[in-house]
Amino acid sequence: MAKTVLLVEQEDSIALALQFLMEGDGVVIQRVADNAAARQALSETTPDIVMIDSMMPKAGGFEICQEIRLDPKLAGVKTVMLTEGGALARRKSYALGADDVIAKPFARDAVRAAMRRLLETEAA
Amino acid sequence: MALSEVGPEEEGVIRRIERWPLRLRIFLFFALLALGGAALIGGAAWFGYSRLDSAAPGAAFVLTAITGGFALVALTVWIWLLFDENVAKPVLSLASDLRARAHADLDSALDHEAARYLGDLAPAAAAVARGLAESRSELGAAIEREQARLLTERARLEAALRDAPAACLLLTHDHRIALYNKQALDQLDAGGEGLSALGLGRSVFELFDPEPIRDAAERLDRREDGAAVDLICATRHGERVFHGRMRQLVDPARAETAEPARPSHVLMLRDVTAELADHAETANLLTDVFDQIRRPAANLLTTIEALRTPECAEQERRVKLQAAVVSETRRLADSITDLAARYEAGSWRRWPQIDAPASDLLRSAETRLAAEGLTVSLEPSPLTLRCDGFAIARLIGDLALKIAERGDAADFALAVAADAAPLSAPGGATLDLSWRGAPLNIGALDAWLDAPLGGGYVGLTLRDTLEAHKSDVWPEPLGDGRYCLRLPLSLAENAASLSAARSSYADLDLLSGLSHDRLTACNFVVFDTETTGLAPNNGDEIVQIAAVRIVNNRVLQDDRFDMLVDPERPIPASSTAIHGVTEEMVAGAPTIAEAGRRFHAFCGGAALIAHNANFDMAFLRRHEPRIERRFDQPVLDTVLLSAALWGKTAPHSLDALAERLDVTIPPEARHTAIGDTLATAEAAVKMMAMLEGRGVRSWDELEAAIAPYRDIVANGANL
Repeated sequence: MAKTVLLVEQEDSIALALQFLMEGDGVVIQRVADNAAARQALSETTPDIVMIDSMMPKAGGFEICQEIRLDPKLAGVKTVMLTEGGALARRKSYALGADDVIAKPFARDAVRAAMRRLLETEAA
Repeated sequence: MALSEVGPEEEGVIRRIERWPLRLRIFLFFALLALGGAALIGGAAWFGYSRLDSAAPGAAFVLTAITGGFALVALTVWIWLLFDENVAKPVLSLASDLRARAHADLDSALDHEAARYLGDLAPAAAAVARGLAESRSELGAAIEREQARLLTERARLEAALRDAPAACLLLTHDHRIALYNKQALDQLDAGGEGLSALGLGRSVFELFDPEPIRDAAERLDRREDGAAVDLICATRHGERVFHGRMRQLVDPARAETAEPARPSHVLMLRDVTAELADHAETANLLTDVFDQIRRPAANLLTTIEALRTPECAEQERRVKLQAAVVSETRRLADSITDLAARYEAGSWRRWPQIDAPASDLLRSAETRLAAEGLTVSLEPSPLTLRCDGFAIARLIGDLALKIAERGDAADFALAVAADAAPLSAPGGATLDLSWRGAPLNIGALDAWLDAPLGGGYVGLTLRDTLEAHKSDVWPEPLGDGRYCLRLPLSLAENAASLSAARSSYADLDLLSGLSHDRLTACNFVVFDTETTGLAPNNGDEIVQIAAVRIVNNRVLQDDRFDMLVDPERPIPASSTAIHGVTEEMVAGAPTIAEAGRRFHAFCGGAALIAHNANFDMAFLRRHEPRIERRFDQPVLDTVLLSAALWGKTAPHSLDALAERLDVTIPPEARHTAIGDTLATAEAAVKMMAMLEGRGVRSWDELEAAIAPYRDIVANGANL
């Protein structure tokens, strides 16, 4: 069964690129543009991975990441933060429960490597 | 010859003689001389008469005269010896003792034994000494009160300077340091192990390149408005740069005299090394930003323009151009990642350039929360943070109040913890506010950050405060139903800058302009070495060097040097038994080359003092080529000072000296380098005061005073 990814990304261009990238690897992508839509999507389906843009307005993606970690129903969901900051944003992401962090701007290989890591640990 | 060398059965007779009045005893000397002389002349006459030869009666007279003459000389010599031993020498010794009491604070009683035939002189001298001690103690009490008042004022001044935010030095007219504050110690002290060139009485040029300071002093001389001048000066080896502001200190008592002004200076210093480096780093980064982004951006634009031209409809060309777009874009992305990393790692810090002890920060937050009715427990922390402690305390306090307002949290605690592993900026520690109860939603936290910080920080929000500290704050679960807010902060660079507390930061007497050629105003370094043996020229080596500084005839107990030295040869057990330095102790210690250099640096330009200086100097001088420094400063020997005061025949060992001068050496410190050094220093200070009392004030006068005794140290006696 194909893996499902919920992409919470505000910027259309990046969302489009990520979509093309991952669909080429046989992953099913659902993209939402803000936290409200993300909550709605999570209440309807449970994806394997949630990929979150950290730089959305206000607390941004960190809020969704924290909510997933605090929700026992979503315990099996892996989260990936897409950050533009450096060490501090990385530290904050892991503190709020992210399983992986990808720094923007990213190369295709970085995204693929992260996906592989997460799906492998899930399989294990 | 002395009358004291008699058997016990004659003691009773001596007791009686001791009780005779002095005049009677001196009368008896002369009576003995008169009667003895008369008797001798009579005896000689009888002897001559018995040999009377009627043929040559003249020969008998000659015989009488010769016999009588010799006998009279012998009698006179005997009586002179008695007189010298029992009158002249005790008088001198009493005089020397009295002088010692007049010029040094000796509290022990006068020695009566030597002067017991001087009748009332010894008790009278003892009474004078007692009287002197009493009036001294009365005067002393008055002086002490006055001094206590002055010391309080001085302590206040020093406390004020200590907490001044800049390093502050008071310099004498000849650029020696008369005062420095805590900041100066922190910023200028190159580190322990006696490397420091910062010390009272030492030249400021041991710290800084002389040119800028001399130049500033000259500029100040030319000005008459009393304004300050600015200068930029680098440390001797150019590793640090300071911005300084120098001003003349005008002594109101001297301003009115016609004496040519030799002004002292106050120099305030700020370390701008980091600022200059930050400035350069920022400028470099900006240049690189434009450089690394402009080119790929321009290339990208050109390539994309080219893609849209009709000539590019051809498949092969399109593929090539697309590849170019990808490569330029990647270059652009890589550049941005690289520049962002450099920006983040940049050492420049903004607004909060302050070191705040974590415990102060925590207490400040606690006090504020207590006023609002919220109790928090504190975990004590020894760390020092680089942040605006007041602003951060306000911020964490505001957040604690917001969490408490929700009503689902209790049992608050504040702590500052060091990071387990070093992290990139900001890093080193976190400020944690923890509570028991419900978790905190980061969205809610984020909304709170838009509130103003208040407390005098006009127009600043909590978020601005975090950004200024290049920090952030987020909630984390701690387990067991506890949660915390975590706020990363930088540790102060030298968090361990609790540099060994020195008690002497100031010697304002240096400023009063005591003449530099006065002996007691000189700057001395007293030192002692422990060695593997007694033969410096036969393979023995130094195992330890200790030294302490004397400024203005005061021992600066804290300005000391103590270093073990690897002798690069075995240490005989017999030597270890004396000084306690073992081969294990010197393993890994610097060799004489390094230790000698450090000791040389500690000495600066000061004259050296040691007990039996020739012995210690022989070891140092032999290694001068390896040390690459010359010990060519004047050297004083305390053995010679002692000889100048008490004569050649008095014992001059360190123990004898210490006993004579009331210097106590703790038994465990005797024969340790630093213990002997401190004892030698105390003795030297007292002896120089006594010599000054005898009119020995300058180097030349001292040289003349000790010259007659040079030979007693030449043969290495008094070890």
